[in-house]
Amino acid sequence: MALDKMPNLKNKNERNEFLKRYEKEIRKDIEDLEKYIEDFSLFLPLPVCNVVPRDVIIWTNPSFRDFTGYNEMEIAGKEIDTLFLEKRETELLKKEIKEFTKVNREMTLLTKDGKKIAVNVYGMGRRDREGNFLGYFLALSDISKLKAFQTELEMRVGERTKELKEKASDLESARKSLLNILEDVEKERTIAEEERDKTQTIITNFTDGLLVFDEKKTLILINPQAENFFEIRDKDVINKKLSGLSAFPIFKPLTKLLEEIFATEITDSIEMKRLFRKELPIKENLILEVSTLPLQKGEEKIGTLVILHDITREKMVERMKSEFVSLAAHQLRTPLSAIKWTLRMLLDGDLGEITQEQRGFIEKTYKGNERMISLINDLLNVTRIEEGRYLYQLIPTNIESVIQFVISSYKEEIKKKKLKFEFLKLKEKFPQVSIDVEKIRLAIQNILDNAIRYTPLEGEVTISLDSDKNNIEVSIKDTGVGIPKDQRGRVFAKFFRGANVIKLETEGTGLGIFIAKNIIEAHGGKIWFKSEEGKGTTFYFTLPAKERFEEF
Amino acid sequence: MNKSLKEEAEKLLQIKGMTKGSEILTLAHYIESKHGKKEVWTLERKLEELGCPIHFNEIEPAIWYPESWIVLGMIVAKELFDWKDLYDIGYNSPVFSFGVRVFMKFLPLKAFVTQIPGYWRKFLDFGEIEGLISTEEKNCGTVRLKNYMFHPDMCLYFAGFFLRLAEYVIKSKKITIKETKCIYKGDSYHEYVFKWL
Repeated sequence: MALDKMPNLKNKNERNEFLKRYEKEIRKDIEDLEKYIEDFSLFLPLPVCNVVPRDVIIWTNPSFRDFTGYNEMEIAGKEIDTLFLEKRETELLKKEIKEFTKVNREMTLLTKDGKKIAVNVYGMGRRDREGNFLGYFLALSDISKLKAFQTELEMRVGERTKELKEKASDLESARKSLLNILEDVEKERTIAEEERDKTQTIITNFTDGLLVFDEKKTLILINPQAENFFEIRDKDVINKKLSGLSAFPIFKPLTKLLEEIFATEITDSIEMKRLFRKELPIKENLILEVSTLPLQKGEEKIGTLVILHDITREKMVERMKSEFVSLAAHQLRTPLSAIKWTLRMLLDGDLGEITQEQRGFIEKTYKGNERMISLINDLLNVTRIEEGRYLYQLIPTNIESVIQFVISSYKEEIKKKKLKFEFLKLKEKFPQVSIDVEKIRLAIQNILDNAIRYTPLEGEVTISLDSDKNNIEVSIKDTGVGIPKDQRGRVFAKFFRGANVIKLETEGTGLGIFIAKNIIEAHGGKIWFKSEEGKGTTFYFTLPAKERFEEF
Repeated sequence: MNKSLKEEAEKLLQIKGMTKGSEILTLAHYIESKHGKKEVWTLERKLEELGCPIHFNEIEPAIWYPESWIVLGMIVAKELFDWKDLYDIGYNSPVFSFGVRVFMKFLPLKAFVTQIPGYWRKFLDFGEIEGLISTEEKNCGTVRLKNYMFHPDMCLYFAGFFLRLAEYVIKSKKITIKETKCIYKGDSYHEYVFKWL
C-alpha cells in the first residue's frame, strides 16, 4: 500500500479523504490477492481442496475437480470420508492433521465414477492467530503408476526372491551335502590319522627291523629296531638310494642282497610277487633273516618292504643243539657199533652155540641196534648239513649209475612186496653231473625207501630220468598212501612223518626227506612233489647239468 | 420484454443497500457452472435491457455494489433459466464465495454463531443478523435476519445459504431449515430455525 504521509487527523475533510484513499488501496490489494489466488489455483496441477474443521470440503481447485470427477457444487459440502476407500486410514488422517498439522499418507481415492486411484494424500492443518483450528488443506498426488510399478516390482522381487529362496534352498542342500561330505572326509581323515598313528606305533615298536624302499629304490622308512641293527640314525639314511647305502659298511651285506633281489624282480615279474627270505650275517653276533615283500597298489609295484628278523639267538641255539646232537651221536655210535659187532658175533656162533630162542631175541636186538645206528647216522647227517660241512667229494658222475646202484639195494624188498617196479630212462646219453655220489645216493635212497615202504603189496613204483639243456630231472613215483593235504607244507621239515604213515609203520626217523632236500639243494638242484592221499606220491628233483653249485 | 419484470427491476433498483462485489460474482459463477459461460452473457444482456448494465468481469470483489443488482440478477436468471426458486443458488453461493472461503472461520457452532453478525457486516452495509442456539430444545438453532426486504424470493435464497453454512459447521447426517417468520408475512424480521439429528 502506497500512502502519503499521515494527514492532519483534526481536519475532517483531510481525514475523510485519507480514509477513502486508504480503503481504496486495501480493496485493490485484496482484489490483487484474490486474483493471485485464483490464478494460482487455476495453474496448480496438484489437486487441492480446503476442508473445514468438521471435515467437509468447502473449496477445490480445478485439478482436484478434474481428478475426482466432481464439479464445485457436487464436491462442496462432502465429507472427506466419501473420497477415500480406507475408512480407518481416513479417520487417522483427520486425527493426525488436527494433532500434527502436516500429514502424508498413502490412500485410495474413490472418484465420482467409481474408479479407485492410489494417491498420496498430503494434509496441512490451519489455525488462526488465537490457535483455533480452522480446517485443513488436502493435496492429492496420483501414485497409481508408481504403485503399479511398485506392485510389479514387488511381484518381480517376489518371484526373484522365490527363485533365490529356491536357489538358496539348493545351495543350502548343497552346503549340507558338502558339510556331510566334509564331515565324512573329516571322519575318514581322523580314522586315517588313527590308522597312521597305529601303523606308526606298530612300526616304531615292531621287534623286527623294517625298511621301506620306494619304486626308485630310495629308502623312505626305517624303524628304530632297524636303526639299532645298523647303528645308524634315520636322518642319515632316509631318502638315500640303495646304492648310496653301501657307503655305510654295515649296510653292505644287505645292499648287496637287495641289489640281487631287485635285479631278479626286474627280470622276473612273477618273482616280484613272491616273498623272499634269506639269512644274512650282518656283524658278529648279529644274524638277520631278511624278508622282502613287494608293496603293490593294484598291479603296480610302489615299493619294497624289507623285514629284518633277528635270528642270532635262534641260530646260536640251533648251533648248540646241533653240536649237542653231534656230540651225543658220536658218543652213542661207538658203543652201538660195539654192540652191533658183539651181537653179530653171537649170531654167527663165534662166541659159542646159542639156542633158537636165544637167536630170536638177539636178532631182534640186532635189528633194533641197526635202527639206532641208522638214526644216529641220520642225526649226524643233519647236524653236518646244518653246520654246512656236508659236501666234500664232488665228482662228475653219470646219475643213471647212481640210481641203478640204489635200486639194486632194494631188489629183495621190491620182490618181497611184489611191486611193479620200473626205471624209465631216455635212450640218448645223459650229461654228467658234478655230485657227491655218496650224498646223492643217500638222497635217492631216502626217497625210494619211502616210496617202497609206503606202497602196499603189488603196488607200483616208477623211477623216471629226464634231462634238458641245463638240468637232469629225476622223478620217483609210487602208488602208496599219499600225503595228507593239510600236512604237505611240512614234508621237508625235520622229523616229519605223515599222520597216515605213522599208523602203518612205527619205524622211521622223519629225517630222510629233510636230508634229501638239503642234499639236492646243496647241489644247486630243486626238489618238490605231487601227492594225492590214497593214490600215491611223486617226488621230483633236478640237478644242474653243469657243475656250478654253491657250498653251504 | 416482460412488463412485470421491467417493473420489478425498476422497483428493486430503488432499494438502498450495498454488498461486496465478491457476492455478486457468485451469481456469475453459479450460472457458468450450471449453464455455461454463454448464459452469463445472456443474463448480462437481459439485465442491460432492464436498465441494469452489469458486466460481471468488471465487478471487483472488494468494492461495494448495490444489493439490488444481485437480487435483480437472480430474479432475472430464475426466469431466464427456469429455476423453480432461488434455494439452490442460495445453497451454492458459499461454494463460490471468495469471502466465505477466505474470511469465515468455521469454528465450533457456539463460536461460529457469535461471529455471524460480523460476517454479515463484512459483506453487506445494511440490515443485521443474529444467531442463537436453543437452550430449550436440543440440536436446534435460530437465525434472525432483520431489515432485509428486497424480494420475497430471497427468503429461500437465504434458507439455502444458511443451510450450507450450517452444514459446514454442524456435524450431522441431516440438517433441516425452516423459515418460521417472514417480513413478507407480517413479521418484523425473517427467522430461520435449524434442526439437526
